[in-house]
Amino acid sequence: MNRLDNFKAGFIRENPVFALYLGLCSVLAISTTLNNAVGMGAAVIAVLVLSNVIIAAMRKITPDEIRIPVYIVIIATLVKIAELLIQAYAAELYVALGVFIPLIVVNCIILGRAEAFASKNTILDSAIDGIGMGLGYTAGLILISVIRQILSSGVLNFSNPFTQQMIFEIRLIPQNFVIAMFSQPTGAFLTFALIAAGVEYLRTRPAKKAKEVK
Amino acid sequence: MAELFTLFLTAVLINNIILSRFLGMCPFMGVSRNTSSALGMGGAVIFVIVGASLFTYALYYFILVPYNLQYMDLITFILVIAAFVQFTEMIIKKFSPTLYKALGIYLPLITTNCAVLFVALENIRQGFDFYEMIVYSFAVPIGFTLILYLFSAIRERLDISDVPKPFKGNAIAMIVAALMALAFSGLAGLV
Amino acid sequence: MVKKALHFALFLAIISTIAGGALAYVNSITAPIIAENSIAAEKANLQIIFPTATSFAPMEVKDDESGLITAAYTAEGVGIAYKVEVLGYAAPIKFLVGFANDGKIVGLSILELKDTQGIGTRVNTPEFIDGVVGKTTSDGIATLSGATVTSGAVVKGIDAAKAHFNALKGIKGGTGGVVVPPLQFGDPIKVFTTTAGTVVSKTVDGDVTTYIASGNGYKVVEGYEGAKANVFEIKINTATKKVVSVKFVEMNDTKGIGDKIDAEEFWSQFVGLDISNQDSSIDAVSGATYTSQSVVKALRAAIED
Repeated sequence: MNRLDNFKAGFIRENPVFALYLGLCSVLAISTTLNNAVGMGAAVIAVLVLSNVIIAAMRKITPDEIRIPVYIVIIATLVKIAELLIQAYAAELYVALGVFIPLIVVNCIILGRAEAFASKNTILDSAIDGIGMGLGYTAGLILISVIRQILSSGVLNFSNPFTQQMIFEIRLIPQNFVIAMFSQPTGAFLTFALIAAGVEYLRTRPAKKAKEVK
Repeated sequence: MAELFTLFLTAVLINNIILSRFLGMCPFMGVSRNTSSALGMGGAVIFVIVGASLFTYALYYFILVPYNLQYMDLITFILVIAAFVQFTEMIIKKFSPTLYKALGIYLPLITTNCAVLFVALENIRQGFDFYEMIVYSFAVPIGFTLILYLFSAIRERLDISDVPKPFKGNAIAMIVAALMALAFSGLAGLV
Repeated sequence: MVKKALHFALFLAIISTIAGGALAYVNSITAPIIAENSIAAEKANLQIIFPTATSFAPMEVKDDESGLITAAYTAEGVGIAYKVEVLGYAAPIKFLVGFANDGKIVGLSILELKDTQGIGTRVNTPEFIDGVVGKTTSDGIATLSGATVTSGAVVKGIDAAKAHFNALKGIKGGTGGVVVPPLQFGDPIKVFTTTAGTVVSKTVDGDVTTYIASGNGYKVVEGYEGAKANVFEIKINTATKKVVSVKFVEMNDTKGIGDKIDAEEFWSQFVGLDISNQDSSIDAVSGATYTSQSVVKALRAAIED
């Protein structure tokens, strides 16, 4: 398929979070605030694109039998570098994301794309695939985070992760009406379930329509 | 002794790895179709987490720290885990071919199971001593197995009930997880 | 077959080495920044304690038997500061104590203190701090009389830091421990101008008569409900007309204040006191005047018996 198609697929049809159900651990745990979502999303996009590029660049010389350990070493190195950089330059984000930064290593999305795409395609294609999938992941993450943050705290805000300066803050629901449950695991599962059902409905609807017309 | 028991109880019920920490979800969605394969998966995960924890713990304190190589923790841990899962795969293939077939692709996927790496990292982050590490390494996968088993029992019923189309499969599984998380959060007052 | 395995191993080894190298490089850049971040919170306080120091670094604290040390920071080339947390009268007290490399205490910075205003809070005043800064890690530090719980806790915490520092630097001889401050004396009380108390019992043994007598102390004079007088045992040598000894039998005044007089320095004033001299007097303990007076009242009762 051409590049644009592939890029779009990462967003909706093959959205890593809601269609492929990959990388769920971090999605559910991190999605409490918009800041966390953007920070995590950025980290995942960076690692995903770089790992795709490196693995695609090496695809001709990597022996097939040991490709998984090789991919793991590359991904782990990139993640650790990301962790050290975040710890040094965005300390609050580091504290907020905690153990989920190193856990990007086992984010199925990254290893999955390395195996399914980057090992078989050119550097440019792999880079675009990485950006597409990464943005799809981040979009899903932001969607859940915004819903959870608004419902559980009533406020939507965003601050610069490097300087901790607040960029905007809007109160959408009065403090008395917030549903704290959405900051808890139950709320996370519930939000995800409802969005997943919604996405599933959207995905299967055109097929149903086509069937009915026939 | 009492602290070890509290550590165990907290890790199994209160900070349950699936319901509270969201880790180990992939097999949660995939394997939990019937109770026996859920137990088999749980057993394999217990074996992998305990074994991997022992190796990574020793690796960290006997090699990485003395040589000031703490930043290599992520790479070395994940490689140790990958190797250990391969090893576990070979053992299961030899001793129980039926279980091997039932687990299928999910066995090598334990490598990328967040829970394994999580426990290995937490043992270091929380500064556990040897006994605390052992207790924690057993407690977390036992909690995982518990939820997996409960879920597979519920799933067996779900499969034959009339779930709305968009919710079929993963969405309804998430709703069940939400309810289980709600139920388990009531245990927080236990300790 | 072997050739292939060797090829794989070599490939993996090369990849790992490149990866390790890249990581080591990034680590070398970020590690100092991370260390800097971890002490950023404390930096302002550390700079006050060590004004001449230019760089600080966190220090790992091992072998702290007291469990009171929560963190330590080295001021490069200047000294070490310890962050200590102790339990005060009502709430935890957090403070930073800084030692110069030669063992001198160069600074005490109270970070968190929630004890009683005017009593516990005295540890955050020059009254206490001046008695700490300037001492060495082998000197004892005196508690504040009247704020013994709070100051005692802080001294204990400083002691724990001293012990760790001394062990680290190889300074022997202990930390000096907690020193009880010397008794402060106030105005003299003339024996014969005080109102007399009551003699409860009397035993004669040759020249020495032992009286059990009571004297109204603070609580009785101030009219506290159910207040009881203080009771003392007074021994008088009726031949020489001198007091042999005085000591407490029952202390019914305020704990921590009235019992201040129960010290060698106070009682020794009575030993050899001439009861035939109308001008005989003893000095009251400052801050415990009423209780001091109650002793004299009891003594007067014994004399006039």
